[in-house]
Amino acid sequence: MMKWIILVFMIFSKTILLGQCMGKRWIQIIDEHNQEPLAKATVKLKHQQFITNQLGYIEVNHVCEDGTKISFSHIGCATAEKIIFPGKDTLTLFLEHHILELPGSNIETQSNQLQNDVVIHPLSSQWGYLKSISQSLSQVPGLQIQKSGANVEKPNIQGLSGSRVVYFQNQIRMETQSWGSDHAPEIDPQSQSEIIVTTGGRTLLYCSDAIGGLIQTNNLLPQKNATAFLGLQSQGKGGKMGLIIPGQFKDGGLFSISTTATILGDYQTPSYILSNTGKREFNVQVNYHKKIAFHQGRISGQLSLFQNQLGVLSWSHFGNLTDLNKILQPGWVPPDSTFRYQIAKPYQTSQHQWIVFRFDFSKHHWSFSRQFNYRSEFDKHIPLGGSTSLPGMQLGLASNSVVHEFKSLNHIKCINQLDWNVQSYAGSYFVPNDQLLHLGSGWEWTKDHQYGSWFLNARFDQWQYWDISNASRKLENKSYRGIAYSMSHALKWGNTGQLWLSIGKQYRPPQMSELFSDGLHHGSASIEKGNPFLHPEKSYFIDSKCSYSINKWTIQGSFYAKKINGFINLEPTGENQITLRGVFPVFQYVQRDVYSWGGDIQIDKKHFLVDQLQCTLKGNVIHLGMIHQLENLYGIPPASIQGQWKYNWKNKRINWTAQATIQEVFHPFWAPISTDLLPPPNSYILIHAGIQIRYKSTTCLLSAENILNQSYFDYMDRMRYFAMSPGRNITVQIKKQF
Amino acid sequence: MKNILHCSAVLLVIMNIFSCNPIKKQKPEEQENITSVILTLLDTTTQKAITCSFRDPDGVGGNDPIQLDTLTMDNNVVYRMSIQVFNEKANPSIDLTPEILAKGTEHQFFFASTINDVLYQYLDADSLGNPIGIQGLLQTGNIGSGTFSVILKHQPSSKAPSPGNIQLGETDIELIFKLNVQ
Repeated sequence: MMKWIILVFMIFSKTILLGQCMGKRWIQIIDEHNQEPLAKATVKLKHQQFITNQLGYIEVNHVCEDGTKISFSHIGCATAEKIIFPGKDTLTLFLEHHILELPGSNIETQSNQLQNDVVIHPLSSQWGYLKSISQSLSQVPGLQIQKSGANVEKPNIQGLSGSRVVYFQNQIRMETQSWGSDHAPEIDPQSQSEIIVTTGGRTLLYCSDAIGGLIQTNNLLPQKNATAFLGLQSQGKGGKMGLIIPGQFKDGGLFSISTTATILGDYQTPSYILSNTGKREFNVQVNYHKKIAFHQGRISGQLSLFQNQLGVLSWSHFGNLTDLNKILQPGWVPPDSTFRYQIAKPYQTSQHQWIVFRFDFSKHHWSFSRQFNYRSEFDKHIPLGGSTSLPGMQLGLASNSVVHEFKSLNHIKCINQLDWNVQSYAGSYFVPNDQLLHLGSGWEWTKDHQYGSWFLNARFDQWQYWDISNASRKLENKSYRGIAYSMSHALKWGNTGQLWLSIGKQYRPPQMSELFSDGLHHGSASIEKGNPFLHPEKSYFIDSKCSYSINKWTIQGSFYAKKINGFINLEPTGENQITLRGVFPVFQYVQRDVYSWGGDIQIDKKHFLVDQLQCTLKGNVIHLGMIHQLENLYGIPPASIQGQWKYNWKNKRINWTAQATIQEVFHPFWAPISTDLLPPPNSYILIHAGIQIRYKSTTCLLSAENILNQSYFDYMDRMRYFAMSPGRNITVQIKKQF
Repeated sequence: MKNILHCSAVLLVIMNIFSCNPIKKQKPEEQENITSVILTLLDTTTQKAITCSFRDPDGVGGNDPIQLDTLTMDNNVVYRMSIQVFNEKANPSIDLTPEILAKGTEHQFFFASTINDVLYQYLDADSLGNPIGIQGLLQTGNIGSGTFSVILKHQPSSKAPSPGNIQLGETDIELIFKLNVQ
């Protein structure tokens, strides 16, 4: 009898309770960093639990008129709470992913659960406001830095770089990377909300030609807090400062203005000053973001300007092969020079202007952008009758893009792109004038199951080049099209392990410079000739990643292999061309079938010897060679290993972190010798150390790179033919959030 | 909505301001503007003239040179040699020789032959009294064959006093002619 009374009482009381709280409210949960809807987020009321759909939506029932407290969370995010009220409109809630430090790295990264992306939040980075985007990414597995002197750095992913690594900013492709290995991406990492590195099949959603990898930066969302930072470094005796100012209009629209400025003088090796290696850089961007009533949408806009002036090592520009051979002699000594802030010839300037508008509605997202890129090169050589103030070459590229993104409830995501580019040159011939119309469509179908997810990707692209002309004549129009596809599987492995596997096909059409270049390349004292008969590269790949944690140990690994048919490579023809400046070897773009494989491994041990100490060991190896030929390809990063120790402690309200790193880069014994100007350099060991102090919203950092001032030549630096790498660099940095 | 339109309009205006005014848009100039070199040799005894030319009208790269002569001289003769340098990319072509003379303190021609008894003597000088090499005497000895090199060095602020230093500066011209002394 008592059971029945209790039961009736419970039902009655619940009916009364629910009777008071019969309201409903649609909720959408959004990732605060990238503005992406969060599927499978959990929304909890006192007695109920809801899961958001693929677009991050859920209708919450039983919401009380006087408010109901909910808690909401997502994998990788901190749980948040909010009091909601019944209503007909959709309430947008934001969740912030935990910023997890990649064990043993200098960056703070967060891996999306069961995905292969690596996400970096540069403003949260502990160890470097002075770093370039390449340095910020240097700890990502499979990623190395390719340099062209002290100031030009480009990421090399899985041994591939140049146009095989593709950059997207706010879902719009950055077009200037076809301008060569000495054109660094025009991205200031401190102005980005996040940087995402993707390899393998899921790159097909955005492009087909990211055979190395895809780097996406997102910064449309205005920053929340005002932030100021200042970094000073001994190399170049200068530094960088930045300021982010957020605000809100009366209509609720959010905005932020962020700006950074860099001034550096000459770098220095342990033995001599690297004459004319200074840098000037300025970046400003304005972000705007507003929710609108139409379809629960929002409008975002960004205007940015990035410009720099980069000095080029003065003795790396020479007249002809005789001059080059003189520099390459073993006994050659770099000329004496004194430290200077001024940048003299040779130098380059570049400017990147960008405007993008994005409209987000429930299922559809539209982006409209215009980018204008401009680069001038000022050679040391002044032609007879020439002027000292005029550039020797200019490149201009205007690009207009429309991107439509669609997400359906049945696990399908689609991105359609339409780009129109107009490229022109003036002065010395480098790449032809041309116009390009590109149409691309990438699709992804996701299927979740108990142990993980399947991803199927497919993509179609069409490139149409016309109005192609060089200095003297009009060239043949070019048209390329292709289909790429991939299949990926993310698999949970117990409670703490995961495995990611991706197989598929990518392709890359030849660049204009690969098709039609024809002229003297001063950097290598060779005549470079394009090949108009090149066809698209096709890459068949397998890409895998895994991680597993047990007790205090975590092990992460990745392995990748590719077979690239028609790999476009610049090779010597064996002929010499007589010119007025002497005889130069002729190089031409040819296609080879190549293979590559490589892998990374990282082992972390927390509470190593003492509770506060964390130890990390990691290493990587990459190989890329030609099928049916003994010779390997030039410019493949050498293997390296790294050990790192990090000690954290808290003293009252001050957080201290001390870190020391030992890195050994091995001799690149796979590197080809016959096609290189100099034999590859020997192995070397570098030691870095730093200490960071965090008090409330202020962070101070003192660090030293190459603390022993080791003399070494970096195989991945094109300037290694002319000078060793810079020596010790001591930095002092401070950041304050207001 | 009005505010959105206002903001969009402002952004568009700013975009256009930036887009139309890239920093210091200057018309660049060709770095490789020497395309042709003509050596004129006048026999100081007979006044008979010989010319020897190199011509690559489209410059370095592109098409091969259209003319590379062999220098044929009589033995035991003193020639007065003058050099002319042209830019044939321009239409009409530009004689750059006066420019070299005008900037004589930054330029010097150097000459070398694999035949030992072919000797050169500078006849001209810049404002500091150092040789340039546009005018000179070329003396032949015994019969033989080999090569004759003509090298123009650009040595801004580094030109060495007479007889000059070929190791300094950048190479503007490096031509190797076949040489017959008959």
